[in-house]
Amino acid sequence: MKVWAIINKILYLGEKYMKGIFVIFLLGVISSCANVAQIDRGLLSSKIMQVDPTPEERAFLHETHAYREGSVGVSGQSVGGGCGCN
Amino acid sequence: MGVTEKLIKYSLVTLTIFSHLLSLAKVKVKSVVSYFDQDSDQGKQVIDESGDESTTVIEPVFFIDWEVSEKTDFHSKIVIDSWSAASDTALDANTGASGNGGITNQARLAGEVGLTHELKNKNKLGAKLGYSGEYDYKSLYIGGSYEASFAQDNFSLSADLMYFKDQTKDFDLLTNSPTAFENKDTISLGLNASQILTPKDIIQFSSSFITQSGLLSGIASTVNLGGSRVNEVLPDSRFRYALGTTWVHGFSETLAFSLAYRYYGDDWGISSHTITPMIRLSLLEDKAYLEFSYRYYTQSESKYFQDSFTSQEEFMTSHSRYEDFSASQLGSQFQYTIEGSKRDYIFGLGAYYYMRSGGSKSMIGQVSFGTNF
Repeated sequence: MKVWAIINKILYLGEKYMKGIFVIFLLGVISSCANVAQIDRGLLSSKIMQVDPTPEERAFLHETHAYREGSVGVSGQSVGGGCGCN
Repeated sequence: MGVTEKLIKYSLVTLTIFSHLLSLAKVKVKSVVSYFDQDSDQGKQVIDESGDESTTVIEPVFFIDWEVSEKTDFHSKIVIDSWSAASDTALDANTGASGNGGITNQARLAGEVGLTHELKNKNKLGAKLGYSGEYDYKSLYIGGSYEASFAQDNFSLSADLMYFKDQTKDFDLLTNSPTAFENKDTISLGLNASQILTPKDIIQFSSSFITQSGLLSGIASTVNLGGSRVNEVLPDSRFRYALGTTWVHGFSETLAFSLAYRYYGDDWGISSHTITPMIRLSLLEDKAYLEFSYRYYTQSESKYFQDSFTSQEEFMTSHSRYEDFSASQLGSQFQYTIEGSKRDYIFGLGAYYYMRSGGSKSMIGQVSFGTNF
């Protein structure tokens, strides 16, 4: 549990700068990339390389998290539409 | 019409639609049945002071994806939720609101239809429309999306905008009855960027910006104010945002690793961090897929949250979702494809275990089946 307490401290320490870190990281990644040719994308098209390989199954998990936690957003999470799980 | 009759009626309608689609070409159908069971005594919002948040949910979802033409996809889903929740029962048993000895089962019916169309410049345009209804909540929503690709599809940008016209009920503790439906509006803007880094690496950045207004408190949420239970009171507006990134790395053609992180903040004082590492395996010559995931979540407390209140505040909540806590989730998904002479069949199994600081825990089991025509 001490490990998680330390991780929590690091996470909350950095959140003041979170928007800036996100934008710098985004621009850095995009500007430093070389193009990968279509012929070299065989692995990238496989199921294991998808950002969300099981979207239909994941939707229910997002629904339960959104209702039981204070947070929503990204990852295709719905922010309205009811829950069916009071 | 009773809940059971409704379930039967909508199941028959769904089967009829499925049967009709069997005769059409290029149709994918899938059904995912999820089971959720929560064991918790941490709910300080529960009216009878028991803290009991025990909940059981069964949710079958039917997905239909129809390739109308080479450039246009029609997709739809039908959701039938059935659940029982101790917090509902406690509220109703305490007040006799339903007049039949307490709420024991609830149901939600929801449906969504959508279209995705590829434009001449290869960019994609999408639209969807949905409805959801349950005893204390109704929702009508509409959304649109646009996706553009650049640099020979190495980089893509997408935006989606959703509008939820919801209506929800509160509970009047003075008259011991639910209020009339009140409005709740939500507008959500999502911006995403995806970049191929190398032949073995891809990264995605996502952001969400959400505004909500109207009745934002929950029907079964109360607070202890000087020894008496009164309704939760929350502001009638909320701004929320989330920033996230997911990196996927392939070690080989059969093994990949992904790492996702999300930061969330809102004007009610909550901030949170979510980290999700995942191992994915392709087995049996690509016929089977197996993943193992871990999810760590931590959030700070809302400025309106207290375990109990000694004096009346402008805004008050004791709901467990607004307190500070951490949670861990372990899970696994397995899918297996049987290749037939005319069509493929996909079977799936999933299991997740969620543990929250304070002792609450829940489990999710999933079974799925899909095929194409």
